[in-house]
Amino acid sequence: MTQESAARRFVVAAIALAAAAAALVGLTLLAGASPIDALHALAEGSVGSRAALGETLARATALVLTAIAASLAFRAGVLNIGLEGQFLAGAVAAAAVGPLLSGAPFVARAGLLVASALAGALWVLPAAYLEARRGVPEVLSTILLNLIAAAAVSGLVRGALQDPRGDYPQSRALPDAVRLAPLVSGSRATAAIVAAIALALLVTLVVEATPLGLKLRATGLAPAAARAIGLPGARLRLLAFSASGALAGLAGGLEVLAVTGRLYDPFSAGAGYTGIAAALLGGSHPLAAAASAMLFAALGAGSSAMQRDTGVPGALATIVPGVLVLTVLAARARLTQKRA
Amino acid sequence: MKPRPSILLAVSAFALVSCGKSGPPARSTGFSVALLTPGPISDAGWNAGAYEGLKAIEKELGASISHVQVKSPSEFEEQFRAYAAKATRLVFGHGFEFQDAAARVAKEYPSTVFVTTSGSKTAPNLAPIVFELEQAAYLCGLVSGRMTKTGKAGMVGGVELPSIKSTFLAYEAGFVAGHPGGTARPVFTGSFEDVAGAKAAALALADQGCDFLFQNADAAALGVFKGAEERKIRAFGTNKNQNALSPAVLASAVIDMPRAFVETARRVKDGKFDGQTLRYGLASGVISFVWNPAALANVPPAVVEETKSAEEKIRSGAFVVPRGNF
Repeated sequence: MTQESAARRFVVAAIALAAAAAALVGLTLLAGASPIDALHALAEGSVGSRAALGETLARATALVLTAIAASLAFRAGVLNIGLEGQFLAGAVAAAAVGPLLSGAPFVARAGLLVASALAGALWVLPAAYLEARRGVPEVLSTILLNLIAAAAVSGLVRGALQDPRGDYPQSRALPDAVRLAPLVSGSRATAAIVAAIALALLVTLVVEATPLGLKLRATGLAPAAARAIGLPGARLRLLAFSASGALAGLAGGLEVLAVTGRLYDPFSAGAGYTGIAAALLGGSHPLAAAASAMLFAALGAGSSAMQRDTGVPGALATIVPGVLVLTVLAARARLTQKRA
Repeated sequence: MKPRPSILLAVSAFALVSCGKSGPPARSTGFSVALLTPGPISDAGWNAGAYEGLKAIEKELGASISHVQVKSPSEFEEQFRAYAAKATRLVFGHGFEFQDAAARVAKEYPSTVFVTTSGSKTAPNLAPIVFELEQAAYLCGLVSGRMTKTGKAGMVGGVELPSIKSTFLAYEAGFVAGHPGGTARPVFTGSFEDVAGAKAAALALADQGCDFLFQNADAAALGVFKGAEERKIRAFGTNKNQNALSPAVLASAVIDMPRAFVETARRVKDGKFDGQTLRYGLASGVISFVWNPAALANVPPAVVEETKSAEEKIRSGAFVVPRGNF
């Protein structure tokens, strides 16, 4: 998770994009469709029109937030694999308090988002406690907390949070006045994406350009050395861990507020995991991770269009981001070996 | 070390700019139908049935078809919009969970018809499909009522949902019609997958004297059939034709999902869609009551005849089967 030179990043990104493009062409041929049509649909469906761009941005909101959440944790040496669970915790909080909040929409939204961020931060606490007191690796505990969160969502939409009207496993709907409206008509992008990008800039600033960020990075890079110069390692780790959880929780809250309006089961298509992939692709630099998240969002929207227009199974298109991340990691490792 | 902006940012920005100027999307001509499924169409169940329906629409109505698998609720609206923007004539959202998104998009695209498989929201260009499985459940009840020796029947459900209870209400009505004074007892196991729990429930009901078992327990139905086999009593299949699954199955109450899709598409194509809930029962052929040929020898011919005439009355509307209000 160290810094890389711009030249090296360029080489890595170029290799990865080439590999992903090759994979895409191969897969469409395999599915019996024309690669030209498929690529056209991919571009058209992700950035080809105002509506398509809106879909990409609507998808990107959650991914940008989980990507910066992952970067923040990774840079401080915390392997928070539990973003999916924290995302769900935030969504549950939003669905639980959202319909109860009354008053001005602005106040209700603020209350909902605070509850989501808190829920995300709280969901890391068991893992943080187990790591600090019992030495349980956070990789393990956060993965398990993801499973618990998914099961909790499934139970809640059929129990405590179920919409009393009707027979369906879904939570009560947010009032229309509270939900975020599109920024421009004909597009689905809301103010949520603006908030996500602003947070990405803020986190980048804090991590890369403040004394606190330096301490976090030092703790992540060389824990022993950081301790030796008197940095409170455990506290810094906890700070990064819970801030990471809060960002993921916020992502879940914004998803309910801006996109779905309720909690469903299953609620997430792996926003937390995609965030981790985006962070890896961006070398754990928050801004690069946010840009990678945008790329993943565009690929997601584009691959849906590919399926709609050319009949290429959606599953094939989801292989592409996987190829991207794997190539980046492999290319990076190879370049590091050469240097050593 | 000073951080540098990622090259990826530049690459995606370039992609944004260079792709922004491609031409307008191709407009579909003729009758076009699209399907959104919440899961893979290879599931041999809920989603496969819908895709079969879409293929049948292509074949029988000459429609151009398109399908997309939706990976999370955040995509519902995106997919509806994308199809509506291409002037797709009819878009199916395969499940109740598509209602909200369909209602929002339907307002903006009045010339596209949106249909959700189950649900309750309607608009001039939006309606749910409702399967009237209750009609076939009533016939199952009538058969059991005529054939029961003990006057007691059992009903095994998965989760206690209004839609499940509604089929039990219809079965019970049929049972009492066939055996005045008879009782039908419901048991809910709390799970649609718990085969062992469903079997335990079936055995308990048999031990209480029930000699017929109705079930609406999805995959857990296998447990009911096993229990019925062990106690040498009769059971009924539901949702799918489950006659081949066990010799204990006397008949099945079947939903023909592909047929419902074709009927709906035909209605839209012929300009007969009116924004009313699309109810499919015995009359449409979507719901059917199917005897198990292997077990039919044990059924008195008078019961077969009576079932046939009851079915006719339901088809013609002369008799209305009770259903839950949900």
